[in-house]
Amino acid sequence: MTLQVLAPRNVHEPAMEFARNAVDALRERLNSVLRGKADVVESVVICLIAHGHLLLEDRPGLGKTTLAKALAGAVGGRFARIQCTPDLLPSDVTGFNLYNQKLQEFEFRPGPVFSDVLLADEINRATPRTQSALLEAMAERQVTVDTVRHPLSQEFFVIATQNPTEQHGTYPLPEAQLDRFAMKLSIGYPARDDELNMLADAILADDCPAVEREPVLTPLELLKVQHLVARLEVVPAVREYLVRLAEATRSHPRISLGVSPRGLLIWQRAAQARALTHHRSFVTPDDVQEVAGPVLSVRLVCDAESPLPVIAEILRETPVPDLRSRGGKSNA
Amino acid sequence: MLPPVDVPTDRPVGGNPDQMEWRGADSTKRLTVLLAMLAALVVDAAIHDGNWRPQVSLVFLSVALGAILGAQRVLDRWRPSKEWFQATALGLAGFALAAVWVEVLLRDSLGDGLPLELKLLVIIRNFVLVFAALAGHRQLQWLGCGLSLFEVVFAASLTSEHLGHAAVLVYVVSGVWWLMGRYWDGLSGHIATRTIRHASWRTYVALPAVLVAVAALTWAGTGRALGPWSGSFGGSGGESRFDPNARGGVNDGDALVPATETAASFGPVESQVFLDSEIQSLYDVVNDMYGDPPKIQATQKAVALPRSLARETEQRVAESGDAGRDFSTVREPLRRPETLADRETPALLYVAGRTPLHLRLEVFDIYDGVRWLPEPVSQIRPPMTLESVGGKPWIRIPQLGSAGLANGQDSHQLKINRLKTNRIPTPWHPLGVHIDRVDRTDFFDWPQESVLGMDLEQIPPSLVIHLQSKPLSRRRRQSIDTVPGVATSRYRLVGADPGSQAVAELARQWTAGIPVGHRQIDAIVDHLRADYTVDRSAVIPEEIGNSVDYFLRGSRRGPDYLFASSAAVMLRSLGYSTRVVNGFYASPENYDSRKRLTPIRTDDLHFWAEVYVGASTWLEIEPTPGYEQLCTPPDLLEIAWMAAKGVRDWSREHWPWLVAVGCSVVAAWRNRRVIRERMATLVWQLFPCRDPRERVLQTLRLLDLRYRGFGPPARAGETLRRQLLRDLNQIPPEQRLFVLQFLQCSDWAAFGLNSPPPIVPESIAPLCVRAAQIVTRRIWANVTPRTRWGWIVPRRTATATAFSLLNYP
Repeated sequence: MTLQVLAPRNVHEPAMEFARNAVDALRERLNSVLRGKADVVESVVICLIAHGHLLLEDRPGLGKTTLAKALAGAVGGRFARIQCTPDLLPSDVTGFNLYNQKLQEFEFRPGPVFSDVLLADEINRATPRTQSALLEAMAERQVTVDTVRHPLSQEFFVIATQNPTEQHGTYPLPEAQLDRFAMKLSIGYPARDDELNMLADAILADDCPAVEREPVLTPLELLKVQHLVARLEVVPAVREYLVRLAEATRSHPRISLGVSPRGLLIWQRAAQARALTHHRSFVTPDDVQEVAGPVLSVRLVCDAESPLPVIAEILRETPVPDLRSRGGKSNA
Repeated sequence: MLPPVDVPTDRPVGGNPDQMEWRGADSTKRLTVLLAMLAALVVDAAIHDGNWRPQVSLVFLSVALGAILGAQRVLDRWRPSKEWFQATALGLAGFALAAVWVEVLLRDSLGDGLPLELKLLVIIRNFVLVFAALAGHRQLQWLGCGLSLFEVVFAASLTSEHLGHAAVLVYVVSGVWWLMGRYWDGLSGHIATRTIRHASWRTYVALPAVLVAVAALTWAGTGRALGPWSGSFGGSGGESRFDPNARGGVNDGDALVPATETAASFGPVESQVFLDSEIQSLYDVVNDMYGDPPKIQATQKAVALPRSLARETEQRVAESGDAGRDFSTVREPLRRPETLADRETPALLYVAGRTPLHLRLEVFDIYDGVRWLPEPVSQIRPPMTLESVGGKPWIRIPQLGSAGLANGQDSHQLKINRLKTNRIPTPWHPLGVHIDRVDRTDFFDWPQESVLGMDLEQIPPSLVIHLQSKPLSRRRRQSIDTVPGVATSRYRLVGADPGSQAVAELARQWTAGIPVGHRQIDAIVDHLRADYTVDRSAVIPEEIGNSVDYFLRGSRRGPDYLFASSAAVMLRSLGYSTRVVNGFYASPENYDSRKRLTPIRTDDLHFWAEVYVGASTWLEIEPTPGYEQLCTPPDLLEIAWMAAKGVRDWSREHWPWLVAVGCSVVAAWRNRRVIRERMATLVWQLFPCRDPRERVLQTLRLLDLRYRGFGPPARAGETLRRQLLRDLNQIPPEQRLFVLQFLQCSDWAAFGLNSPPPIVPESIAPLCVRAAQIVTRRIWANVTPRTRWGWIVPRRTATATAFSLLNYP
């Protein structure tokens, strides 16, 4: 008997096919900018299509800014950058009202948050007052200046970076603000071969970096993909699995602050986004497990320096929905 | 008292129907088990109606309950598929048919069995118990509860046990609660996402009230309410056909035909008029049963009686004027008319109450080697007292002595039918006697010690005699450890002839090294019961001087009086005081559950022995095989002890089978992984699911079984999917695509319930086969043939190599 492996059937569905192509193109673009970091790029793409905000925490010079700029360039939207310093004011972020003497009235001068992709570089150098100015923008995608509400772009996406090694003159982000980020990622040093390739490419490179190439999708197309992600199927057993994991974070002896309901919603959305990146229209427990690290590490407060071992322990000890039965009825 | 319903509004109405089914089934699962247990209790009451021992039923139900809960636990973990339930239903149908065939075989080969209606009830009970174990499945739970309702209604109409009626009432209350639970579960997924039940304080207030109501209704007599139901169900009796196992029905076959000819064959009642008819005397009954005694010359007696005793005996015989009261163990061959054995032979009397029961009629004390001479008329006649109990006159019998061996109290009713005697068949250790409207003690007499009589020429037929007595306690019987003597030597008299000496020597052999007391008595009785055969047609030749010696050392078979005589004589030779008793034996085998009576016919005449154990107490001993003694109902400890003893005896008898089964079980246990895997593979090959999604899940279950049994151990928290992915590197590259595709299908089958399949559905089944082959080959690669095939493969031989070459999915 000859058996041929057929192409996945759901790619024929127009919406899924479009989303798959968009995600693949985005992934390819980012991979071409950030060499040897496919897993980080995967997480960045997941965070973007899950409609969440991203916090990049790593040492200087590892490509945080480059990645953010490449992402902004790939989605083709307006890109803005804030270099956070202690003297940065909230109005420098949100914008301010300026009196126009010609028109004899105040007019609003929008700040950098009125963009599609905002890079907040070294966010922990800004004062808490300025950091909190970003809160409303990140959570509600709007800013209010002088009691006037100004809506932001629908696909507004924040990439914040922070340097964990420098402590002087920094203001650690409060838990409330951290909870508004969907993921926290560390890029880490590239592998030796990747660094060699990077050096070789730099010799031949022209002055037009990849970040300034043509966008692979428009902001509107990104919005469509984000809406599609929100509609992907999550069976009750997987939802129960998510809740069990959340409960485990709240009762774990080494964790002082577990995942919040808002965090749980973000976790489910990230799992849905991962399902789409794997060309599936439904979420599996593997999706939940895969995104657990980036999603939880930004919002868990535990006694260890890194929460990842604790997260791995929780994933190991929580019963997984059974693959062998319809609907993945849980073993618990 | 209605359970509150919780309707969350933040979730969409509806949901996964499979999940709803499991949740709903879980919530009433335990209640279903309770209903099945109650129904089984009522069925047991119906089967043993009139002779029911609830504690025995409770032991059975405890075992069944343990099995059901264990099965439910296994199923909860296993979570079988729909196909498994369908296969189980087919298996149950086969099981039911098998039960019918077993009944047919029992009836044909052993002539024993249950009435058909009870057999039907047993089959239904078994079904209900199995359905209770499968109560996690919603439809089977419904089916089990529906069947149990029919079972309870049917069984309740066949029983008159109060505890059975109480169980019916508890069943009704529990059934209503179950229906409420099913109703709330039915709301799950329709108008509510889920329902939650919890007991409120009202429940705890209402529960005792319900229990009190159940007790009151039971006391008030549920029988009147349940009685009319019996007409609605079929019985096993017939009008024109006799069924020996039938319990009732119109006419009960030919059993009641004589009733049209003589009213005496009806179950007598107290108001029934006296009917004059040809009635056998006790003497006639004995001769009919054992044959006529030959005329023996006085000089042939083997025992030379002491002068005083001989004179006493002569005087007594002359005084009684009742010729032929002595009993000869040498008798003419029995020429029993054929009609005697017919079922139409009317009963001499009826007994209502617990059986087996020994009823004394005549006590013999002196044995001359051939004849037993009756005990003299009692000179000591303790006065009886009159007592009114519930307006009825009861004659209290003075304590005859039980040496502390009796315990509890039994009530029996004797209904004299066709027996001409003035003696009342007397149970061991009587306490009182009551005859309706007889309120004078001088109506009663003591013809012999421990045998009651009436001061009449004969007891009128159809008279009902109520008796109260104390049964023997098995446990207290174990305390006998001495050999007390009786004042008179009549009970210890043994002959000096060679035959008697040989019997005494045999008794010493049988009891060598056994301490005095009940152990010696039991040793004699056990030897007789185990090594000798009851043969009513066997006769002792007239020329034999000592019939006991001839029986013990010669023929080794004979009627019951030879067993009784042998036990009495052997124990006498060991120093015990014994006597032989003649009377009736009410056998449980003759119990008529419909009439709730045990008829006693001529062939129920019986001989047994009694041993004096001090304190004016004579202990019944039963040396004849097939006859049992009435004792206090065994408690749970005694039941457990008897069960253990039974298991031990059975094991001794069937040890080859036991060894074979034991070895098979050990081998099966050692090879359980292989057997389980082979069975699962067989099911996977023979019963492939047609639904693509189910086929994928079926394949996954098989692969999971193989991984767990033979594959590398899974890491903590690792899913089957990850395990398969981890092993992917060790699969040839050209085959990896199949496995990856299969994994996509697996994800879809388990978690993409509303999503289209990743490949065309027609390709899923062949993909499953191919993926199973590839993954299994990978698993087998690291497994030795011995591990893979179990003990059927030697460690290192050509066969092992051949087996290792066999690849199968």
